[in-house]
Amino acid sequence: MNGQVSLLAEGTPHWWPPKVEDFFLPGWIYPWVTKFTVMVWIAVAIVILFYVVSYRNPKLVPGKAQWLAETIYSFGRDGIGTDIIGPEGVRFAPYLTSLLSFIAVMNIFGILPFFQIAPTAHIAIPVALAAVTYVLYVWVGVQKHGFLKFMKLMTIPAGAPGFMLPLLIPLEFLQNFIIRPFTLSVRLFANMFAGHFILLVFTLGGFLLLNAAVDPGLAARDRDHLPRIAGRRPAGVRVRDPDRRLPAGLTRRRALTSANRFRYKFTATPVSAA
Amino acid sequence: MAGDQQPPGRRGEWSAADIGWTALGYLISGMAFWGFVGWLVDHWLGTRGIAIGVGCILGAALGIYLVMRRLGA
Repeated sequence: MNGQVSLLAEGTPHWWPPKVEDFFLPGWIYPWVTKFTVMVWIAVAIVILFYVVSYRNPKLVPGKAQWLAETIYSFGRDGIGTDIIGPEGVRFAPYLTSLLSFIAVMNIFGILPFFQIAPTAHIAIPVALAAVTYVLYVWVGVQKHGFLKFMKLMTIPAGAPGFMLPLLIPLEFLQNFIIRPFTLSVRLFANMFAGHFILLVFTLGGFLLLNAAVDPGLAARDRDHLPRIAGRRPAGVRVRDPDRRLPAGLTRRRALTSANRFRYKFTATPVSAA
Repeated sequence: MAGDQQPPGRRGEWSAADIGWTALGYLISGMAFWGFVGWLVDHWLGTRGIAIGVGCILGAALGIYLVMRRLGA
């Protein structure tokens, strides 16, 4: 224990506790450009460059990059567009694929060294994406059904008895127009934030735990590992001292069987009194 | 491509997470809306928390009803 180096030994390190300034790159435009902003720019640049480069010279038999781009597009068109929206979902394939690629690239930032956080772990970004998508959703719905029919579809639950409608319509309205975009964005945000949070708990918590365990003075004074609160042993817990003389008739081997160890530990007189 | 050979049409099934979040959304919206109405009634009539309790329970019941309508067998 004495050999371990205390990371907090020389006072609090400069990164502890985390500050608001940690969100900003040093030397950048202070209140406007955060690390998240830069990561979003990088993600946008990656997505645009990838599709532009892989489709700059399209061939009938695709190369590797074109194959990858076509596979992603095909997933966005068929896996999301047609399968979930229906046959008319093909119209939205470009939007869905852009959204898919953008979110995927941003999420991958969460496991890249030196980034280690996805921009989607910032609630503003899923909320913005959900807002854009929801405006599109409502707009398309109103275009297709007309405003009144659309509101009827969105707020009147099918098959409910008429006398319950005044009670149920506000709920459907709230659910479909406010809660659902909110939960959809929270789902993305919470997943990415939880990943980052676990990472942070393990690294920072690991440092703190290591530092809490290492106190060279205490470790040198006492060799037991009984629990301590603020450096003191709780009252009523006695010390087990391994160098203490054993009771008559008890060999060390027997003394260390579990039942005996328990008795030995809690009935032993401290070595100073012996 | 392989993806093109799948039969077209709607899948018609929700993922388990979708169902869970929809149920959560109905419960929250029920309790939030009718709880809020109950809070307003509390302020209006000067009752201390009776109407908000009634509103929350009513909202939860309506939310469960809608969950059963939408997702139940």
